[in-house]
Amino acid sequence: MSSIEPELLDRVRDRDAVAFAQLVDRMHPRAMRFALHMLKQSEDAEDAVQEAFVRVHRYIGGFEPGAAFDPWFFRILANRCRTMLEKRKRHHTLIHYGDLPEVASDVPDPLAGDQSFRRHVERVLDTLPPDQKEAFLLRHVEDLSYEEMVPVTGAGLSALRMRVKRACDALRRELSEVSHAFR
Amino acid sequence: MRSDEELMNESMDEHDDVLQRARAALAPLPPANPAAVARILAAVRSDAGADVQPLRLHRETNRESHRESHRETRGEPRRSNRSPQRRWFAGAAILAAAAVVAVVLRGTDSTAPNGTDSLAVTARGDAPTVVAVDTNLSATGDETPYPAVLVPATEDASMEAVPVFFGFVGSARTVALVGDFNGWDADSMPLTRVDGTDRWVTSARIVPGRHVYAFVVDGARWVRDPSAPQAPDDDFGKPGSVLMVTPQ
Repeated sequence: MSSIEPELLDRVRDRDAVAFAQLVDRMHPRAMRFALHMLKQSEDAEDAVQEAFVRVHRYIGGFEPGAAFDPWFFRILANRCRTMLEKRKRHHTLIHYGDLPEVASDVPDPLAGDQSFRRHVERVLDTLPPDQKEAFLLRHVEDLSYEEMVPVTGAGLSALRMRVKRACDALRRELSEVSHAFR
Repeated sequence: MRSDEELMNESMDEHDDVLQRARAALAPLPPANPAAVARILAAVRSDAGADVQPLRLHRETNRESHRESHRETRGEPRRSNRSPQRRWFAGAAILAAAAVVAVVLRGTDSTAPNGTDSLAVTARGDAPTVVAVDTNLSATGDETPYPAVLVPATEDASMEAVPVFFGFVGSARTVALVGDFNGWDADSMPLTRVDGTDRWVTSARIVPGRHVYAFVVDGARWVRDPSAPQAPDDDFGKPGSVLMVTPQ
């Protein structure tokens, strides 16, 4: 399944500039969501997304007509994110300060519970190995099938299922208690 | 072939309340960002036309990028531990050009209504071209509107009309582009809505020079481009924005 219609992809392959702009416009929010979850820094995420689209434009001619666009796109984007993580590992040392205290507000925010739960989810995801986090996001946020994830990640079906299962186990284990608290 | 145990585990995951809530928490998409899209289109044009990547100065060399991208698109594993080299001159030249024109042309205020945004970049031939908006400039200013600056992409400039891509974000039934280049005719250049969004796009061939333009929303309301300097000489007493088209 692809989120982009074949007709639009045909126009992009024919080097229609407006069609390519529409493709970027359509895919940009999803691309940024994935990159932000993976990289946690908006500047790095924007860099990764921009580089991914540059490569899409450069190699769209080799994209097989009729094939699903999402796996092809996310393969490129996931590689950019991995490259960014490797560079960050080489150039930065992360300092963990632990959980920051939250400031209580006198005015109850109806969305505060959801946002706090989201922060818990992201915190648990950040403790996972990158390959598990990536597999979970591709499967359960970007809705790729395991078969589509194979070319994206370069891993086999069994390995991908195991990565997703371990990520789910960790989320379930760490979130079960807080999930009740935020109901 | 998946085992029964694997199927059972996955089925449990699909219906697990905690996991469903986690998925829902991660699902919201970031808001539309026309300025970021404009930067991407400009970077794509730079890559296609100049064979360099001028907007980002700390990535691997173009030749390395090509090799790696070939591997990516063929599904081959990436190579890591590259030593990045920098393309300072091309990037610095374009950013400096944009900055200079930004200083000269920047406007004074924005009359765009809340909830609307727009972008304008050019397209030439097979790819979007030219830096219209360098949003990095905004970080140093106090909400100063961006100029729609078009930087020559090649040295063999001509005075031929240049394709320009226009985008508009906002809730509307119809959006049209009007300007001195189409006689302010609200019927001649309608924008097309991107399916399922509140974003509208169109492209037009415009001769190099200074132009004033605006968007007409729902056939009546004139909205100037908040990403471009406001035109001091409003035609027809309506708000307008300045577009500088340079030869390519």
